[in-house]
Amino acid sequence: MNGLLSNAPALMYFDVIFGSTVLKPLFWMIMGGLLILFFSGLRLWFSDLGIAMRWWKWALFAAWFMGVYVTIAGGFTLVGENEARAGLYFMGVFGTLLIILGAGLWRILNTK
Amino acid sequence: MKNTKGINRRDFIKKAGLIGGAMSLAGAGAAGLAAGAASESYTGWGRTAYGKDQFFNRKPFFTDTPTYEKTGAPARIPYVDDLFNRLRELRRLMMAPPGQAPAWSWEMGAEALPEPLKSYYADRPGALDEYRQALENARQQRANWPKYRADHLLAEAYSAAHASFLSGPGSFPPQPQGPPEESDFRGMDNRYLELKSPRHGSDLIKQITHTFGASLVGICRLKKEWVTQGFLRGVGRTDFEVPAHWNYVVVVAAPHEWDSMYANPIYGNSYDAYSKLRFIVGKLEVFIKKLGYPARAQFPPTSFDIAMPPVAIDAGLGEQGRHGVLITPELGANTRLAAVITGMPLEADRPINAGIKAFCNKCKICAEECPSGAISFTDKPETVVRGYRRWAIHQEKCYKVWNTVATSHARGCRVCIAVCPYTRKRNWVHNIVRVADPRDPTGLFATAMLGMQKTFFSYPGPEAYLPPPDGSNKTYIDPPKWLKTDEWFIK
Repeated sequence: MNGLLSNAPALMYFDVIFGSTVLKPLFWMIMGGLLILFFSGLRLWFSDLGIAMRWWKWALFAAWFMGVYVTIAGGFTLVGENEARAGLYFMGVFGTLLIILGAGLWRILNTK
Repeated sequence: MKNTKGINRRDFIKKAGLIGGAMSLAGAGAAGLAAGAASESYTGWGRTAYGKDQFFNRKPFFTDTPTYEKTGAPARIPYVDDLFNRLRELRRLMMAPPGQAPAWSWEMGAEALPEPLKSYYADRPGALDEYRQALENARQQRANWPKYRADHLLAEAYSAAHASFLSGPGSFPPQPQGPPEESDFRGMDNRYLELKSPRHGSDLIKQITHTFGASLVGICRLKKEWVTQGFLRGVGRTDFEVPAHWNYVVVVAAPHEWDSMYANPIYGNSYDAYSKLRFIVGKLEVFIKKLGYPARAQFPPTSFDIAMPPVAIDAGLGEQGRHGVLITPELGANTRLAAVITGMPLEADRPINAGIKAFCNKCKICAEECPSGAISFTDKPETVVRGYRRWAIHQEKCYKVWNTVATSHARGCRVCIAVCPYTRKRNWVHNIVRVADPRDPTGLFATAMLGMQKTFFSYPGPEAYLPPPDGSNKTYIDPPKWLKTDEWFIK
């Protein structure tokens, strides 16, 4: 780890995970598990809220969620390489766009 | 179904799902942070030895027409076209032998200079005055240095360490002695085995050169117009024919250390990449000679008989940028070059057109940030140099700023390298751009990326890189902790 993390020694422990050939895939397996848990819970939330989910609604939601995911990951990647301003702008601009899209998506999800 | 503890399984999954979603987003942020700062993203300082830093797929971008623009009859390169050769000649003229008057002084003017300097400066009005101003700046720079030393000691020491073997008895590789027909063959083993094919030769040389530390390797045939004229290393000032055995050029690229490079102009240095390159091509020269073929290393800062950017373009490594520096897909403008000229039969690579030059037409960030104003703002290259239309920086203006920044002496600026949008490390964000941008025939992707580059990223502005009163000694990005003197020493 270099860049930003060389100036923030506590974060050097990231290397323990992401520099390890064993722990790095384990991290992504856990991330996969968390996503399964998230979508399992979401199915129940939608059901209890009376939202009738179809395959294309799931596809739209997955695309939107992936947008959120990539925006956060991309923003923090820029922060990690010492471009904090660019990272925050990246998250700010695309985050705002995703909130607007999310509001539209919510209306679509609520259609029968 | 309710359980006995008051929470049913449905509610548990719903709540756990929310927590899981939040954690996965936090995980995405953490993974992003790690990707941005990962050691493995430091191209050229991680997985170089096995060729893994040459990760860009050039095949879709091969072209039969190199991206330099031929407009007339090409010509060999007068040696005074190189700034350092020119300055060396001027210094020699101004240094008086004991008891004699100097051969030239400022008062005599450019008209009194001997050829080829006279013609060079006649074609470039004002360039000589810029050099004179650079010398005056150098005096001020030396006077300022005690004031800045405590702040910039580590950067100075780091640069000096990398530069320590550039000259003197410990210098490597050794300079050629005598004409190329002798020096390029010296140490050669004549008991050579025949190669299976030129392709085998190229693949072998690339593999070996990567293990020597080269991030990028490409091979081209040597065109005569890329060979200098008027000075030959090992011989001295002479006009010469291109030797018959100068058939191929193995072109080698390595980057500067990334964090210090981004902290230009003060904390970066040229010598980290130079020292790597000198070892690489010095060893490669020996390796090729041991195989039974003549070889001649070309290495920075000034030991060249050929012009490097065009041979690197011919070898398919990249394209020339607005700032005059070669831009490669892997390293951006953080690309330093060296080479070995050889008679070994090899298979040449093909030039690429990955849209880099076209991007430079639009970008202009390097010109906007250049503290010396040496980089052109024109929408397209307008200068014709020896039969080729290309961007050409104002060398003397550039040198003037070297003598101004808060370092102990003129050891470069490199702001144009640091701010170039192509100068990006290897991580998933920039890799998406590397893959998508050159494949977009509309140019919309490049326009969007440039818009984001100019909006999201922060640039100090050209004057800010200079010392007070003109500027504030800013660097493009703050230096890493390991180059901050006050992190380690009591000032």
